[in-house]
Amino acid sequence: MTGEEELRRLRRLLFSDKTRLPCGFAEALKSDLERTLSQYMRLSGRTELFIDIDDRGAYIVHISALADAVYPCKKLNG
Amino acid sequence: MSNTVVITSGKGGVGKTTVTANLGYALARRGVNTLLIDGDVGLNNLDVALGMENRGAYDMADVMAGKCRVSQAILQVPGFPLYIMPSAHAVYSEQIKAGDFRALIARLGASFDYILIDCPAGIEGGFHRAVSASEYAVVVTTPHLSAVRDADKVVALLSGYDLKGVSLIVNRVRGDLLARGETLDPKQISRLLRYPLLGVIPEDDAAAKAGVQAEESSSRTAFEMTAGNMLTGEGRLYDPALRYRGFLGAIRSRLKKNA
Repeated sequence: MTGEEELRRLRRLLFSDKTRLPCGFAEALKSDLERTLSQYMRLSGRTELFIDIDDRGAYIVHISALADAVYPCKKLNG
Repeated sequence: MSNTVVITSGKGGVGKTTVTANLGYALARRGVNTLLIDGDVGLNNLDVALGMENRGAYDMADVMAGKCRVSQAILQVPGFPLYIMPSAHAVYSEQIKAGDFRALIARLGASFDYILIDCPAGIEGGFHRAVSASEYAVVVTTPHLSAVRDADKVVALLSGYDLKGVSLIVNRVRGDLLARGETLDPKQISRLLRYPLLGVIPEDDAAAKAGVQAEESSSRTAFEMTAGNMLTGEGRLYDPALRYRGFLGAIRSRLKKNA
């Protein structure tokens, strides 16, 4: 394991210790965000989601997703 | 009045006692009158780390029980202004009350420049006893996930105490792994835990063999720098990866990897 991977694991560990977010919270959020994004573009790669806390205790959500096409604008349901 | 510093970690086995002993030596080599107190009641080993086991007739519990004078339970390491008060091996930790311990430390404060308390592992009663008697805390961790995670829990607990300062020592850092980016960087650990680094101590085979009095070892240099940071706040940190950088460093790193 590289130092970068260890750092990523450590960040997640410390984050879950501090926030006590329920298990699967990040997965559920990622799934919802993927669903929303896929209404606007055709997702083509793995979506990555990472939640962090800044020095003031505010949540920072990092998300990266890859799309190979953008859909024409349309009115969303609801 | 002395500066009282508790050396704590949360996780056991990160080298807390070794750090206490070496830091004590480094301070004493600078002429600082230093007392080391073994706060690990029942599982005491600070005397062993200093090579001072079985030297004294009395210990901390005897002082508290009024069986001897304070000075009778303090041993001097030959040749240095370094002293140790051994912990009690024959009593249970619960028998030493936090209030009595605080009173003892306050009494000793007038006679030393620095008092370093080797805190027991864990976050139970012994932790509270040692921390509540201190003005400063140094949290020792290694660059491993489990140790840093426990250190994070400890720094959160320390925020509940009235301490003047908390800092980190990252111990047993392997320079070859650090140079190759295969281990956590102490500076990253400091950023994540949000406390400043007091010292970075390399994994050191020479020191492991020779003990605290090893001459010309890399860890000795690192402890000297750490002691300097304690005394002056100059913030100099040892770089364990330095000798593994460059052409010769790459060869050293390769040899270490294959060893």
